[in-house]
Parts: sequence; C-alpha cells; structure tokens
Amino acid sequence: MLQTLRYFTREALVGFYRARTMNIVTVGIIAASLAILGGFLLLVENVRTLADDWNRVQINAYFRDRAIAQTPADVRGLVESLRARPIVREARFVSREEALEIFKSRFAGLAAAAGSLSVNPFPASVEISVRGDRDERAESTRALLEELKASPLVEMVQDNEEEARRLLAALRVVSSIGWGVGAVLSAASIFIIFNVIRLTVHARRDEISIMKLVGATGGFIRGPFLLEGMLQGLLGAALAILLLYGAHLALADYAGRSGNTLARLLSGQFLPAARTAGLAAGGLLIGLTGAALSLRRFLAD
Amino acid sequence: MIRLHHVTKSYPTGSTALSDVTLQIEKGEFAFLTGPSGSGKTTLLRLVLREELPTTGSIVVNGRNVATMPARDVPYLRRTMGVVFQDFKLILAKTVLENLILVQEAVGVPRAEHKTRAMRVLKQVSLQHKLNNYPIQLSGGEQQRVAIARALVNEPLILLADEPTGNLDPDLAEDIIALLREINAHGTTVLVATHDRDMIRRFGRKVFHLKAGALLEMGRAEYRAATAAGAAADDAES
Repeated sequence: MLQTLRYFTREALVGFYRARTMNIVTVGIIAASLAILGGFLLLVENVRTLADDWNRVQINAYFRDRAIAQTPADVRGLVESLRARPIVREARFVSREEALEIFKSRFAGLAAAAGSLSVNPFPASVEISVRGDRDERAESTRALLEELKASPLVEMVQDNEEEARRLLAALRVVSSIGWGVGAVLSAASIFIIFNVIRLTVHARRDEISIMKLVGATGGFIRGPFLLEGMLQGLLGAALAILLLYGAHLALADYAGRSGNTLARLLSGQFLPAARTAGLAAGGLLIGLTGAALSLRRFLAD
Repeated sequence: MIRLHHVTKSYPTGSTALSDVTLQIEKGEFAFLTGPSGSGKTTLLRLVLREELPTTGSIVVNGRNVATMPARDVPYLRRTMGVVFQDFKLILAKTVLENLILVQEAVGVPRAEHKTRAMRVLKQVSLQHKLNNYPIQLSGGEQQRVAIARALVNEPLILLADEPTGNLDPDLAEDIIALLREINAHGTTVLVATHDRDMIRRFGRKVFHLKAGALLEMGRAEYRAATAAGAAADDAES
C-alpha cells in the first residue's frame, strides 16, 4: 500500500514536472476561478455579518428631549417594561451623550464639526432587538412599534425591518451571482484539467499499454493521473486562498489608513476556517473530476 | 495451459480474422504460430491476452475461460503471461533497470526485490552490464533481449512473443530464438508468432499454421513438407 502510494506520488510529480508550463497555467486558471468564487464568498460573509448586526438592533425609539429632562423616571420605567417583554431580547438605553460619542466614533471625519456644536443635537433613544425569526416576530413587532409610536415619551420610532429585508435580498443576489460565476469557472477548470490529463495520458500511452499488458490494475494505472489532477486543483486552491488573504489584508490596511466605511465593512473578517477548507476541497474536487473524466474518456480498460 | 475451442473473431466491418480455430498448447511446450501477414497471428495472441474478445468459442488459459472472465480479473490473468513485441515497446525515457522496475511496480512486487529480480533476468539475457543504459543506446538485438527480460521479470508461466525477430538481422534473430528456447527449457510455456519460415523449419517442434484465419496444426516435418509445396503461394500473400 505504502509502496503503491509512493509510486503514485512519484509518477504524479514526474508527470507534473514534465508538463510544467501547462500545469502552471492550469494551476493559475484554477486559482483565478476559486479566487473569484472565494471573493464573492468573502463579500457575502462580511455583508452577512453586517446584516446580522442590523438584525440585532431592530428598533430605535427616540425620546423627546422634554421627557428625558422632565420625566426621566417614566423613561426608565418604559425601558424596564420593554426589557420584561418576552419578545424583546435586549433593550439598551442610549443617552444623548452616548449618542454624540457614537456619532463621533462612527463618522470620524465629522467629529470635529460635532464637537464644535454648542448644543448636543442627538436625542436619547432605546435600541431594541427582538427575538425570533423575522417572519415569526412580524406581528408582535408591529404591535410594539404601534405602542411606542403612541407613547407620549417617544418622539420618533425607526425600524430597520425594510432595510434589512433589502440587504438580505441583495445578499442573496450577490451570493447567487458568486455561486453562478464560481460554477462556470469551475466547469472551465475541469475542462482544462480534462485536456491536460488527456495530453499526459497521450504522452505516456506506451507506458500505459505496457502496464496493462503486464497486469497492472486499472486503479494502479489511473492513480498517478488522478493524483496529478488533485495536485493541480489543490495548488490552485492554495494559491487562491493566498491571493484572497493578501487582498483581505490589503483592504483592511487601506480601511485602517483611509477610514473608508465600505472598505472597513468588507474587510471585517476573513473567510471562516470551514469556508477556507471548503475552497481547498473544491480545488481538490475540480482536479479529481477533470482527471477522472479524462481517464474515463481516454483510458479505456 | 492454452486452449482455444472453435474460436472465431469477426469485426463489425464484416472481416473475419480467425475462423473456427481450435488449438491446445500444453504446459512447458514451445510452439510457433505462423502464417502470412494478416493471417490472424496477432489477433490470436490478443485474444489469449484478453485484449480482444472472441466472437464465438472459448479460450482457456491456466484453466480459466478468458472470454467470460470479469474485467476485474484480467490484470491477474495477464500477470501469468509475459509479452514480447516486434518493436520491443521499451520506455525510451527510462533506463534498462527502470524499465524492469516499472513492470514489477505495476504488479506489486516488493520494492526490496526489484533490483535482485532485474539483475537475475538481465543476467539470463546477458545484459547485466547495460542496466543503466537507455534503450536508445542499445542495438536492436539488445533491445529485444531487454524486452524479453522485462517479459520474464515477473516470472510468468507463459511467454507470448509477437514477431520477436521481425526487426532483427538473421544472426541476432537466431540468438533471440535460442534465448527463448532456453527460457522454455526452464519450464516456461512459449508461443512465438512469426512468419520466418526458415526459423520454424530449423527450430519448430509444434507449429500452428494460420491461413486466412483458419488453422492447420503440424509438426516440423509436416511443416517443412507443407511450406515447400505452398511457399510460393504464401509468399505471394505476404
């Protein structure tokens, strides 16, 4: 078994080296395909995190300045009563001062302008996140919104239900485009590997015919070619992951230097380990499929 | 050891390569398969190796019907046979030793035995000093001896040779036949396909003569008589 594996590895490496130029091009194309797919995944991952954030802070109720100044106990009472409701996961009171600080930290460019104001223009608010799925909670959320709007303590109520819905819809479109482009490019990669392995099989046809005649099993003959295909796929995936990681670091660096909000959002996190492993497995599968199809077509028993 | 029973091989194009051939080669025998080009010699060897399937009839090798054998068993059938070709079919990018190791790897001979076995068969064909040469550095006769060594290295019960002397001059051809007879003397069953009449007249004991796909089995004396009478006709065919 070990001897066979050693043989497969040696022959696969020799095969890879013999057609190195073609193999480098193949690895490059696989890397480009997977990097594009991975780029979409990375985008979706970061936007999803953003969507999750939006999901958590679902309702903002802004208090009247007068209520804060004159009846703070009533305001506290309202916040406490919100916290006691089963539908509410969290109700966080944000004072006017905190609101100003949050603005300054989120919009660094405008911090100086906000600091120069003689009065604090930001109202106090309560940020409410609701339990359960979007569809499950729809009815109770609506009731809560109505109740808050009717409260004399509350000036204005905002909910991000619509925005979140739009964002999730956009996310689904981006995700579908990513998978679609990824699938097309993966199919192209499989086709390229199919042809590269076909050429390798052709170059080694004499060797293969001798092996068959002396009694090598089909698996023994196929092994090195399958391994060569997997090697191409895996190297392509590794290169794609490196490219993506490089791009992620560069974007994070740019976000840090420029304060660009979009760059910050999109470089929030790299692909989780499972997705990265999935990308590597995808490369392996592309290589294996291309090689297997080629052998099926050009290496009849 | 090798039995063909009413074997016919036809192709969809309508041509018939072998027609109702019945023959038997016993263990340890040395037999020639002869006939003009296109008479079906190579087809017969390909059928024995299960490279092709007969249209009708049965082919039994070492007690197993090759024609009905499942595909997964074919490699194990072939491991009992060694094959030598007219054009040697050596891997030019590998040295003599590497050519011999490749076929051992193919059938799972333990790595530790590779070189010992290779040296043993190279000694048998008197080429032990050429183990690190590439085929291109060898003469035609030497290349064919390497091919024979390769056919023997996995210790087959049967050696099939398809026109093994076809590319060699008469002296070298005689050496190769002498080598095959020596291999046969050690117990390996040998079947040589050739259209070299002179070779058969001198060495043939059991001769299967194919003519347009049909078979005539004869001994050396019969073959001599038959070929003396039919030589002109055969020459015209080949």
